[in-house]
Amino acid sequence: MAEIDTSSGGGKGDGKVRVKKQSARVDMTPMVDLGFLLITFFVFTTTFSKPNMMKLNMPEKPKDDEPIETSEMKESNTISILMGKDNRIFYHQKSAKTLTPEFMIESDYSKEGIRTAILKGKVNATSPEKFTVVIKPTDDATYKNTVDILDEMSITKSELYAIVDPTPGELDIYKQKIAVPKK
Amino acid sequence: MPAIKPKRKGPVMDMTAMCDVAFLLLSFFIMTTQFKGQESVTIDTPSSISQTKIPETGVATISIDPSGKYYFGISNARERGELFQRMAQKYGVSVNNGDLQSFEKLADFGISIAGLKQYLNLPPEDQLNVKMAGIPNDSTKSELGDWVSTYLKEVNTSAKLAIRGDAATNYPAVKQVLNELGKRDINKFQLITGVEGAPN
Repeated sequence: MAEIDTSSGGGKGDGKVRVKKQSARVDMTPMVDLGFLLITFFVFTTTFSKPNMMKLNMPEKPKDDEPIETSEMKESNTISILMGKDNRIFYHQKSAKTLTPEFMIESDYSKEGIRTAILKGKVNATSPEKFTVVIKPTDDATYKNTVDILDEMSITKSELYAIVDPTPGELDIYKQKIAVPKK
Repeated sequence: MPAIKPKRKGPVMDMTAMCDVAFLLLSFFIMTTQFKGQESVTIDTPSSISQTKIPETGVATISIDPSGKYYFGISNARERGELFQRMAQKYGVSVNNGDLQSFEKLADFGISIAGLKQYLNLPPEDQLNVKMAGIPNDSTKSELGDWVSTYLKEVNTSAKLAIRGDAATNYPAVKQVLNELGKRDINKFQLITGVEGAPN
C-alpha cells in the first residue's frame, strides 16, 4: 500500500525522545470521485456511432471509339426494378420491347414486397447463377430508395446487379402507373 | 463492572488502487478519442445492413444534402493543405499561409473555390453563420469532380471515396455525381449508411 512506514525502527531502549510523526496517508476518496466524474463525462460526450459503408462499383464509361459490348439476356433471367415517387416501387421481368403495363407490377420495400419478388425471380430463372437485377431509379426516387435496394441485393445475395437509367418505354408506363394512387 | 468496549473505528478503505484505475481509464479514453471537426451540414444517412466500417483515415467524403447541394471533405487534416494548394493553382487563385491554415481546420466545405478564399478570411464565429451554396457540379463545369480527382489522383492515391447522402436526397443529385466521376474514371464508391440489424 501507498503508506510510508512511520514506526520507529530502532527500538525504545536508546533513550532519545522522538517526535511523534504524522502518518503520510492521504485520503484518496475525493480524487477517486474526481476521476470517475471525468470518466463519466468523457463517456457521455463521446459518440460511438461510427457509420457503416456499402461498396458500389459502377461500370467504366465506354470510350467513344470502343465498341460497346452487348450480350442478350433472357427475360426470365432478369428483373428490372423501378423506384419512383413517394417510396413506390415497380418491377417487371420483360425486355423493353415486350413490356406492357400489365407486366409492370407494383410492390413495396418490405420483406414481403420486393424481396420476395427478387427471390421468386431467382428461383424461376433458367440459369440462377446468371440472374441479374437491373436497378432503375427514376428521377423521383430518393437516395434512401437506392440504398434500400442495394441493401436488398446483399440480403438476397444477388451479386449481379446494375444501376441504369430507365428506358423511355419504361418511363411512359411508370408515369401511367404513378398517376394512379396506390391501393 | 462495565464491559470494555473496543474502540470503534470507521471502516477505512484504501482508495489508492481505485484512484489508479479511475485515472488509467480516464487517460485511456482521452487518448483514444478522436475529435471530430466542425461539419458544415447535418446529414441524416439511410441505414443498411452492411457491416463494413468506414476507415479512420484516407477517406474523401462527398456529402449531398436534401436540396442537392454538394459538400466535400477529406479525413486527413495534413493532406487538406496540399490539396487546397493544388486546386488553387489549377483555378488560378492565390493562397497565403493563413488561408491554408484555416482550410486545414475545415472538416468539409460546400462552396466554390472562388468563394472559398473569402470564406476562409472570415473569423471562425462568422464562418458558422455562412450558408454554403454547395460546390458547383454541372456537366459543363464540375469543381466537385476536380476536387475529387485531384485528391484521389495526385494527393493520396490509396484514398477511398465515400458518398454520404441524406435519406431525402433526390436520386438525380446522386446520379450527377456518379456521372461526373465516371467521366474522370472514378468508378468505386463507398456509400455511407447508418447501422441496421440484419433481417431474419
